[in-house]
Order: sequence, then C-alpha cells, then structure tokens
Amino acid sequence: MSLPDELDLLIVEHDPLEAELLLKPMGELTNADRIGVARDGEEALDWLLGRGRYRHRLGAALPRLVLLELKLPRLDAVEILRTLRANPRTATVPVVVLTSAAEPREVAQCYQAGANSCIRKPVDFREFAEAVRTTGDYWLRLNRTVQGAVPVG
Amino acid sequence: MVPTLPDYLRQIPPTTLAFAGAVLALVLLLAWILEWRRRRRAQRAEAAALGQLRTITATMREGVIAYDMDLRLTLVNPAFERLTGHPEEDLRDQEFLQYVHPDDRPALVAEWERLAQGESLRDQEYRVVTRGGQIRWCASTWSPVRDETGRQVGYLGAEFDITERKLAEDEMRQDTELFQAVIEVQQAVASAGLDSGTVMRVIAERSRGLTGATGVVIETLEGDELVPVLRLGVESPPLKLNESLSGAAARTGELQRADDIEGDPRIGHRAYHDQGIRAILAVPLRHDQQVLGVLKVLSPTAGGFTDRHAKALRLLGGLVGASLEHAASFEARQARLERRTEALQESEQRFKHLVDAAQEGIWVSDERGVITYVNPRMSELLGYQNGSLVGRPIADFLDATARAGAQRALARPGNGAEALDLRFRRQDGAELWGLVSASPIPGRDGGMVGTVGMVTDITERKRTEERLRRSADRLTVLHDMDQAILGARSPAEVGRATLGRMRRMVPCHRCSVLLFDFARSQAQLIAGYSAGTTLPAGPIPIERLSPGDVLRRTSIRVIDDLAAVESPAPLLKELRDEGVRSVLSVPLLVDGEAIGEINLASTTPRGFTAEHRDIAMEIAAPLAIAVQQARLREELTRQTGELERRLAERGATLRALTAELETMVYAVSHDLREPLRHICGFTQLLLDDGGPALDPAVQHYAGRIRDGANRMSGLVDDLVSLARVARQDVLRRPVDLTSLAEDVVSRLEPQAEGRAVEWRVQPLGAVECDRELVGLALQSLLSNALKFTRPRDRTVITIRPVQHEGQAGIAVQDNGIGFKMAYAGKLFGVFQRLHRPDEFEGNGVGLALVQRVAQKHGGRVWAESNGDTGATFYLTLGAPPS
Repeated sequence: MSLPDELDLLIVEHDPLEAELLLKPMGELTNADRIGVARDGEEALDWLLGRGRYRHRLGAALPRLVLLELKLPRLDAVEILRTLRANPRTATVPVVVLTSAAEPREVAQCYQAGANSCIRKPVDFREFAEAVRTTGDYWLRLNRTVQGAVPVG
Repeated sequence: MVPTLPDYLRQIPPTTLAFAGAVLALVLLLAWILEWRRRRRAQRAEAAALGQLRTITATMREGVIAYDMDLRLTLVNPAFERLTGHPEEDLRDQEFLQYVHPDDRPALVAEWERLAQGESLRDQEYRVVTRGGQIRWCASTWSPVRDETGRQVGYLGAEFDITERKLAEDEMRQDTELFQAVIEVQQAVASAGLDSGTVMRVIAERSRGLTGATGVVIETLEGDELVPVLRLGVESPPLKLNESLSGAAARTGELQRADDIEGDPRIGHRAYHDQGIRAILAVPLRHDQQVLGVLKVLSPTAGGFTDRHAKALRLLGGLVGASLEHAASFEARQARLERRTEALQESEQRFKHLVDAAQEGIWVSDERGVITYVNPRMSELLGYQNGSLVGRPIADFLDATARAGAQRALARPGNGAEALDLRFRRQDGAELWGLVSASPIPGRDGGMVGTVGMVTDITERKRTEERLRRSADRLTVLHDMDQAILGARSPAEVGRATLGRMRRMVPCHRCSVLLFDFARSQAQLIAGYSAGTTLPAGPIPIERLSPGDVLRRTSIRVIDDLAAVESPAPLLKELRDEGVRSVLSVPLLVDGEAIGEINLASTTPRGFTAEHRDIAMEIAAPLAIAVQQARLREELTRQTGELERRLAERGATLRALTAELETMVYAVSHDLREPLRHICGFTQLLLDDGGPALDPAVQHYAGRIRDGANRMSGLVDDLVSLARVARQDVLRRPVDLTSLAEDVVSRLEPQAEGRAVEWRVQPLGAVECDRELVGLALQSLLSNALKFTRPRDRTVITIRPVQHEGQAGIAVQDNGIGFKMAYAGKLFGVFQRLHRPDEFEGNGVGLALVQRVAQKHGGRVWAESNGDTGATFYLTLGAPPS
C-alpha cells in the first residue's frame, strides 16, 4: 500500500491502533483521502523527499503538516527531523512531534533538530482528541506554509 | 733560693758601663791631646801643655792625674781632690802610692811594671785612704805619657770613685754568705731528725756561730711565761712575757735588739746583768703565724750584734719555727702512739677472745684484698679448714655473679660504707648469703693498709625473700596474663609476654611457646628466645618435635639429661648439639586437650627444679586459655571481616540491581502507557460512537474498562516520575521557592474547581536545589493536601518556610483529615496507602517520590498530625537558605 501523491497531513506512526486513534479527530478537519500514514521513518522520508518508490514525487507539493511519533523503529523522530531540515526543500515543512511520556531531554532534542512543536498525548481519549483537533485546526487551517525553497530578499 | 755572688755582680752593669764609657771618652780625649801636642811640639813647652790639660780636666767629674816615672803626681784635677779629700797643693809632687791603701800597693806596683814592659792597658781597682782616714774605692785606667822622642816620661790616669758600688757588692756578698749559712742551718736541722732536743741544739750552735754570741737560749711560750728549753753558755730562768726582751719579741712577733741591756726599759729583770751580758738579740719562733717561743743570743759586748747578726737571727727564727713545730708534734704523736700500743697489746688478747667467739665471720685483708686473718666462724661459714683462707683474696669466695660489683667495695671500702648483701660460694658449692660490712684500716700516712670485714649469715633470710619475690613474680605473671586475655592481645603477644616473665623466674638457655596444628602436622612457634636472642616465629613440622601421641599427652615432660636419650627427635638432637642438656615441656591444655606447649631448655643436666616445674605449669594454664581466647577472637574477627566483605559485595550488587530495576521501570512504564491509552481511547470511542445503541449494561462495563485503564495509566505516569527522580542527578541552582510554589498551586487549581480552597503561600525564600525535582515533590505534597481536605467545607492549605538542622525547607499544612501518628512511618513507602481507594484515590507513589527528592538533596521529609484536625508535611533540601 503506497501513499497518495498529494496530502494535507502526513502521519508518521508505526502503531496502527495509535494511527487510528489519531485519524478519528483529524478526519473531522479534512478529507480522509488528504491524510496519509507512513508506517516508518524510511517511508516518510522517501515520500517527503521524493526518492525510492516515491521518486516520481520529486518536486511535488509538501503536506501542510507532518505529525511525527517520537518513538519509531529504525529511524527515530530526531533523525527524521535532522534529514528533513538538512534538505532545502523540506527545511520549512511544519513538523509536530507527538510523545506519550515526555522526557525533557528528548523533547529538547526534538526542538534542537527543528521540530515546530511537541505535544504530549494525554491518556484520557477525550483530552487526547481535543488536543489533536486543536493542533490540526491550527496547522491545517490557520498556518501558512511555503512550498519548497523560496529565496528571501 | 739564695743568689750567688756572681749573680749580684751581674746586677751591677749600669755603673760598670758608665765607667767604661767614661774611660773610653777619656782615651779619645787623650789621643786628641797627644795629637795636639805633636803638632805644636816646637813651639810649646810641656808645662804649657799640662796647663792646657789642667784647664780641660778641671770640669771633668772623673779624677784625672798625671805622674812621672817616680810616681810623683805632676797633675791632679778637682775631681781627684774631692776623691782623696786633699787639696792640690798637698798632692802635687807627692808620691802617688802614699794615698793608696797599703794592702793594694803591691798590686798597683806590679801593674806599672807590666805597663813599663809594654803590656796592654788594664783597669785597676784600688783603695784610696782619704785625708779623713776613710777608705774609698777607685777604678783606674792608666796610659803611658811619652816625650817627643818617644821616651816614656810618666803616666796619665783616670780615677773613678766606685766606693758606693763596692759597698753594695760587699753587702750582697755578706748577705749571700748569710743565706748560705742559714740554708746550712736548715739542712742541719733537717738531718737532725725529728728529735726536738737535737733540733734545738743544732739551732743554738749555729746561731752562736753566725752571730758570734757567747750565749744562746731557746725558750718556749707557756702561758705568760717563756720557759727555757735549751741554754748554751748562759744561765737563764723562766721569764715573764711583759718584763723581758724575749717577752717583747713574743708579744710583738718582731725581732728585739738591745745593744746595751743596762737601763733598757724592756728588760725588767737582772738575770743577765750578773753574768756580764751587755747585748741581746731575741727573735720569735713562729709557725703558721703563731709564736711558739723565742730564740735569743747574748753577748758580753755592748753593741756586740750588728744589723747583719740581727738579719741572720731573723732568718733563722723563721726557718726554725716550722722545724721545731714538726718535731714537737711528732713527739706528741709518738707519745700517744706508744701509749696506744701498750693499750692495744693489752686489749689484743681480750679482742682475740671476742673475735674468736663471735657469731659473725670476721676477716682482715691487706690493701690488695688478700686475707691476712679470719676468725673460726668465718672459716666455718665458708666451709673451709681454719686457716686455709689466709693468703687468698676475699673475692675468691664470692659467688661469680656478685664478684664484679663487690670486689671494689671490699678491697677499698669507704668509711661508714653501708652493709652489702653478698652471695658467697662455700667450698661445697652451696651459696651463702652474707650481710657484709667492711671498713678500711687506716695507715699512719692516712692511706689505707687493709680492710676488716664482718659477715653475718643471712642465707635463710635471703631464701625466704627469694621465695617471696618469686611468688610475687608468679602472681604478677598470672595478673599479666589476665590482662593479656582481657586486653585481647594476639597469641604471639601473649606468648612473648609470658616467656619474658618466665625467663626471669626460671633460668634457661632456650624457651619457646609452640601451638600444635595436628591436622596439618605442624606446630607454630609463636614466641621464643635462645641464648638471649629472639627466635623467628614460624611453622615447624611436628615430626621434628616428637611423635604426635607424645605431644598430645596432657602431662608435663622432663628430660633430665639429653645426652642420655637414645635417638632423640631431630629438634632435640639439634638442641643437644647446641649444648642443651635438660628439657622441660609443659602442655597447654584446653578442655583436656593439648593445643601447644611451653618448652624450656637448660645447658645443665637436671637444670629444672620442682619449683621451676611448678612455675611453668602455673603459667601454662592461663597461657592456654589466653591463646585459645586469642584464637577464637582471631577467628571471630576473620568471620566478621568475611561477613562485612560479603555484605559490601551484596550492597554493590543491590545498588546495581536497583539502578537496573529503575531503568526497567522507566522503560516498562513508558511502554505500558501506550496500550493503556489505546484501551482508554477505543473504549471512549465505543461509548461515544455506539452510545445510545448500546445496552446500558454494556455502557456500564465499557465505562469501568475506561476508568480502570485511566487509573492504571495514572499509576504508570507516577512510576515513571519516580523512576526518573531516582535516575536523575540533582542539579542545584538557586531556586525561588515562593514562585515555584505559586506555579505548582496554579497547576493544581483546576483540580480544586468547585471547592472553597484557600492557598496561603508565605514568602519561602530561595535555596540551592533542583527546581524540577523539588517542583515534583511540591506538586505531590500539595495535591495530597488538596485530596485529603476534600471532606472539608472550607479548605485551608498553608505553605510556609521551615528550617531544620541548618537546612532550609518547606512545610505544607492542611486542615484535612490528618492521620494517626502511629502510621507516620508508612507514609513514604512506595505503594503504601492509609486509605481505601473508595475513600481517597491514589496509588501510594506520590509521597515516595517526595522522599526520593528529599534523599537526593540530602534532606529529609516527615509528617505530623494530631488526628483529624489536619496534617503538616515537612521537606528539607540539604542546604541552608541562600
């Protein structure tokens, strides 16, 4: 199963249960087919950077938001962030890191690697759903993004 | 020392030199005159020449004369007139020799003849008889006077008055003679011996010879009288001090001289007048400033004694006084000695009886300490035949150990020396203890000619003393060993201390303490001495000692003579080669078993007495106990050490495990959290999405699932926090506690919604601590306070500063339900709860976390409550307020 070429929201989450819980509130904000879930860091980077099986996407539009789970197999969030920020094309794409147990050290590392925000997932689902809705509302509706590298000045 | 005449003459030179100088000057002058005359030979007559000479010589201090070949004076100068006392007109043309003392004329004539034969010039001394008949001495130098043809016409002479010098020389010569005479007297006195009669006779005769006296008297001073002890050529009665010349001499201590006794106020008697005596010299005889008597010489001629006589007598008096005194005191001593000798001879017999019968041994030795006499008791005490001691040094009979110290004391005892306890060795080898007092026998010269000594047999007393001392020693040893046992010393220390004591009580060549280890077939030497040196501690194979069954015996073993033992054990063989003859082995018994032994070795056969055995056994018993105690103690120490080591190991393991566990708790908690969230999430979705369609019972169960998962999730969150606190290092920074507390309060306010809660945050000051950890702790404390005040209508939570043991901290006081102080100890344990879940929610992690924070900071947490009126929690942070 491969991701569609254009997306408003890319969720990077290896756990399908977690992904499903995320999709529930997010689905209220945009079309379900505008939301994609990458199952690991490799797939997310291939899709975002237009390489590997997503080579055809090279130069294609970037999503309005990437929701990145902190703990991922193989490539973790910090490594993904560093690769994205090192590439001029993806340097400014909004990335929000989701964590379940916020270690201050890990949170700090995420910000240093270029995360736009870090959110701790509350246990209570209603609180969690509210937090996700607020986040999506902000990044998908209010936030203005720049596609690709735009020369400034 | 009396100077000789030539010595005196040598003291004259200044005058002689002056004279020689004058002569030289004159000769030069004459040479000049002759030269002068030769130049004017033709013009001047000889008379004119002499006239000129007169003028020149008039001012000279030396007499200048000229005379012709007939020895008639042709010229005299004023100095020569003064010398002879004759005016020039008396002298001129007079024969020169008539002014010369007749005794000196031949010598002068002989000199002129010598000069006439062309001999060289020589100085002359001669006497001039002056006009007044006095004699004056002249030193003269002549030279021949020749006319222009070279024929001698006369002599020119320079005459120098040396009368004063001659008189002084004369005086000195006489003095010298006098001294020599006095010295002779003294020598005569000395050779006269010590008999005072002879001495006085010599003095008297010599005095008479020296003074030309007719009578001599020597008187001694007795009370206020001078009693004649020797008279020579004169009769003399005893004379009163205050009416005789002798008395005056004795009183004043000065020589008295009477040139004519007739009418002399010092003489109040007439004893000498009738004998025709006119002159007397009396000189005091003194010794050590004390007048002993008077030496007196008498003459029938008034003025018969000259100054010289007086001088001679004065010298004699001084010299003779001492001789007389010596002679007198010697006589007195002699007399005393004679009396004593008689008394001695008389008492000698009595003394001999006494000495023979005495209970004390008495000996007399000469100055070298060789015995010259012993009484029978002395022989008996030393076990020798009477008389066989004589001729041997007293020191021979002393025990070898006593000899060195006593020898000197006996050979040269001091006066009043203290009595000595000395050990003698009897002929049969037995010892004799004697109380010895020795005194020197003084010789006549004050030196020591020998020693007399007395010995009292104190052997019995000594033996008793020795026994007492030894039992005191034994008690001391036992006491020491008790001390050693109490003092927890090592077996080696106890062993050394014991042997040290034992060696003093039991004389031995070698001693050692061995401990057996039969299991390893070896013995351990823990202490030992051999010939005064320490034996090295260490193991010895048992088979070298004796067969094991012998060593295991519980009885004392004695080898009386090692030389008689057939095939001894290797160690014994070595000892035998070392010279050991007898051995005493005493087992160290613990619970009836030999754990070791004390070994004593002596170089003499049967070197150990019954008493020695007793002592060794006495010592062995407590030594065994001490050694056993020490061994047990060592074992205990070893085990304790082992235990501590294991404990330390376990502690380290435990700490490692704890750290691992905490890491695991963190990881597990984190991983648990995800599925819990999923359970919560999907249950909620079930309730939300399927809500109305669901059976009420299904709704109920779904709610229960969600609540349970939520609670478990909270627990996991708390455990994660706790684990993090445990893992995290404390990062101390100055923290404003007031603002921290206010932050925490504001975070908690949502939980207090709908309740009347009053937060009273007092100024808490600042302290160095980890802001995050302290924040967690404070949150836990405040949420606790909030929780347990829920039943109250009005909640008051006070946060105030606190100080405890110098540390700053925070106190959180609430008006909640409080707790029983009996449970105070359970408050801070993990999962410890004081309430049921249906009373107050919670998982028992919060206060455990507070405690971790306190511990991490080196502080403390504790709580107080007086029942249901609320509780106060205290947290200190290991640092003073900053």
